[in-house]
Amino acid sequence: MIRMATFRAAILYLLSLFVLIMPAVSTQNNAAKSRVEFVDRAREAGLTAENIFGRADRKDYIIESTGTGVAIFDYDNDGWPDIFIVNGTTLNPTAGQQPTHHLYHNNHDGTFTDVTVRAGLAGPAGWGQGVCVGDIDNDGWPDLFVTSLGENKLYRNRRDGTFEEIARSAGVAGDGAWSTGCTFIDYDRDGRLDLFVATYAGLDLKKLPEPGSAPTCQWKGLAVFCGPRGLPAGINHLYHNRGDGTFEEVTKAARITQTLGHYCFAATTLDFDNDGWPDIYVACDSTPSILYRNNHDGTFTDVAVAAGVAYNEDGREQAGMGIAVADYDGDGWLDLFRTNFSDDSSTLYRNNHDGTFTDTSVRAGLARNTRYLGWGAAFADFDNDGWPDLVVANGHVYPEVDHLKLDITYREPKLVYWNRQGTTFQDVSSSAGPGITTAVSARGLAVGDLWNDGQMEVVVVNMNAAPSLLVNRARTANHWIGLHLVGVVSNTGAIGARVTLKAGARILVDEVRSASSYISVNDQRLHFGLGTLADVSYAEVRWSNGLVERFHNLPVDKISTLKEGTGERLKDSPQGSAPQTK
Amino acid sequence: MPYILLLLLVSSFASAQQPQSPDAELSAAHELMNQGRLDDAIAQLSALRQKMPSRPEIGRELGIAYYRKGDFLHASPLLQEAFTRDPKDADVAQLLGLAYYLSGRPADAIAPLERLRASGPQANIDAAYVLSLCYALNREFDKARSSFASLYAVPADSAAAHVILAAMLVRQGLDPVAEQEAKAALALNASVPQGHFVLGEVSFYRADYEKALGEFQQEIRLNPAFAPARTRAADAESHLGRAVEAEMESERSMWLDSTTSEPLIVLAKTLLNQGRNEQAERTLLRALALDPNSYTAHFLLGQAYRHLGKTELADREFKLAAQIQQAQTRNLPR
Repeated sequence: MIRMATFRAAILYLLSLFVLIMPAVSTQNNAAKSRVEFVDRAREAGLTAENIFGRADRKDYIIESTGTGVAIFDYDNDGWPDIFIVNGTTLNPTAGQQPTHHLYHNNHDGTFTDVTVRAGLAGPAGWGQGVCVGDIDNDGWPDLFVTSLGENKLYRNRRDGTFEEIARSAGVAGDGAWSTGCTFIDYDRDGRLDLFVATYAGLDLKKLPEPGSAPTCQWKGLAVFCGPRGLPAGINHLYHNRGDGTFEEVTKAARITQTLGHYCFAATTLDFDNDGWPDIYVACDSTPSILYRNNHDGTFTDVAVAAGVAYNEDGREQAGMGIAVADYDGDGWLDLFRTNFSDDSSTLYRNNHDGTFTDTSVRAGLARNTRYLGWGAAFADFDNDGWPDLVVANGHVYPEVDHLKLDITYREPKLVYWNRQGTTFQDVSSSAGPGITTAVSARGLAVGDLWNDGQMEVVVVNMNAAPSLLVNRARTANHWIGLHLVGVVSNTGAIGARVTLKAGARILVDEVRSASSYISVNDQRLHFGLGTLADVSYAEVRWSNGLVERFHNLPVDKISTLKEGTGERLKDSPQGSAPQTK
Repeated sequence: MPYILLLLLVSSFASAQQPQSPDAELSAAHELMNQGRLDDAIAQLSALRQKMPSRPEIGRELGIAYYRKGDFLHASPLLQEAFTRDPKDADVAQLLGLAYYLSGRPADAIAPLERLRASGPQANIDAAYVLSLCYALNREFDKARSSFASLYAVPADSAAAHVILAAMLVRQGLDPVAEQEAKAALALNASVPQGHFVLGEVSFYRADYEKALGEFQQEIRLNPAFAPARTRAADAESHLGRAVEAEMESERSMWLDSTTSEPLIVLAKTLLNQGRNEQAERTLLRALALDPNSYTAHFLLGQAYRHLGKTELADREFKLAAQIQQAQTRNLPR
């Protein structure tokens, strides 16, 4: 009996230990295993309009191959993010049936309504390309800029659910060149959003070179469309916001033209050297990528080569397409990720905290999947474990590859890399659900908390097909926090503001951006996964004008609005607190 | 003197007014081609061809003129017409095959190049090489292997023939097939030289550096004096962050072959990663003495200078790297 009692006691003791240990073990297991899973619910959600971008079955000219971007933004300020998808056209569009862009209103119930016509956005899309979002007149309503081969469009939000196109009168319609990426940026910190526009190549639609007509028009021995090599390189543009509804082109004065000879796609902003002034990174195809460092005097210097983000680690130029920015390793500094062409891997540049970066693609486990051609990409904490994961949209440019039987296809699956606590990334794509594994020819990609529930969803533009809405089915007990920043003296959308979140022993950093990924716009509310931490110490915001404030008592598992001027002031802005022009 | 000048002017005016015979015009176009005035020759031949559609040799000459101009898209239909009319015309067969190959139509290039090969052993060796490549690009891998084997004088069913094809396929970016061929070579002869080397290259191409390293090490075991395998093994070690091993293997490679810059560049990269910037600088200067057009060496030297605080020198090297790379890649496919 004694022995039995002892045995029972031992069992009970072990069971109690097991119960006590279980949560810790379970947490560790949770931390060591990805639960990221996506399903495509675009059709059920009402995102059904097909993208038109040249011929579907063959691409004889480079303009037919690059696709379009997508924006997740709350155009009607109802607190629920909506979706805008840029559309294209064909070389021989049928009169009266020209494609339009599409604006989808969030119905707050998992579905969307196409409100394109009602919003006044139903005109011919032309060769639409990228999109960026910013409140150009600081009226509290986000405006849209859409790039194009041809005239760019600026859609001013009329605060009633409709937009008016004002690019020409605002002076940002451009010169008809092939504009691609764009980003709003308050580069001179005057509280008004300026505009940077990336340009791809000179292309005359009336004199398109034929496939196979030059060595630059071949790929793996096949005749394919020509370019970008062999085409005249593009010139990027910078427009300064005058504050009266118009912009002044300052490309030359800002020394943007000191960097020439690039074929540029995506553009984004980040303060890579943490000096309080926004810089611009541009992914360029088959040429070195560009990092315009803000000189604080209205000019920029391209420091990409010296900073180590122009090439790969061997000094070889890559075919850059999309960009993602995050502090992936939790050291408080923003790192860069760039997607590239096939037969090459994407590139991860770790910030060295001294104005330079190191290519850590191999060490981080991202130098893989070289058969895919990457486009849109975004960091987002899909399982809210406190570490930003990575999603990449892929799709080849040559439909002809399907005949090569070379393990390369025109339609490709997406990739999900799960962040292992800032050390390396694990490729979890094959187990990340049909939303990831289904092959499509994807281009633009944006992430956002579409239903304000702390789950980051993904919207993807697919070439000559309906979009994908990848619903995040990762169910965890992890906590999260969403931050909606509202500028008062700085621009109302707080673009360029930097948030440093203190939670437990962690410091999490991110910035509000007008655009990133592949010529797309992520939800501009910042999202941070917190893992098991159920509270945050504070959120410190450095607004784009330099004012630093700290916000306390922020609830987790909710989206909080942080309004400039309402936090604990730590540092005044150098410009003082003069109100912005409304 | 003025009288003679006038006479010359009058006679030249008279000859300009006099219609030339088609043969004379054809000769004149030939002469223009020989002078390198290809656009003028094309204009003259095009006009002549319209005027005299019954003279097929004009189309032939026009095709050759387009070919020489590098306009393969316009050259190929004209040369095809001439080839169809006279398949024994070796010049036309060769130019047509090359025009199709150079405009990304390997399948169409095969018939004229086969015809050329059948014309005898004196057939152009470049055309034989291109024919082998066209078989490969057209997914006729058995024929490609056989054709390359003939070019390199090895039996078509030998392990060496498989390795040669595999190496050619790697260069063309057809790595899945290259992998199959290299494996086939090793199945026939487990110690065939460069079988593992090609497999290593395929894995390197796919950024699978662990696997690449394993293959290069197997090649080194079979072929210890083969410097390229040691260089590539060093590069794989470097990518994997194994500085000591990378340094050792790149030096072994250098000692075997002091004529190439590649092991020096790999060594320098390793030194830079360890912060041994002065050594990296010296190593890169040696590499550039061997190959002044290595943009990687210039880029890495720029990095070394930057770490050493030699900013102006760094900027100069970065600029050189960019210029060289731009010049080297300007006309390359992706």
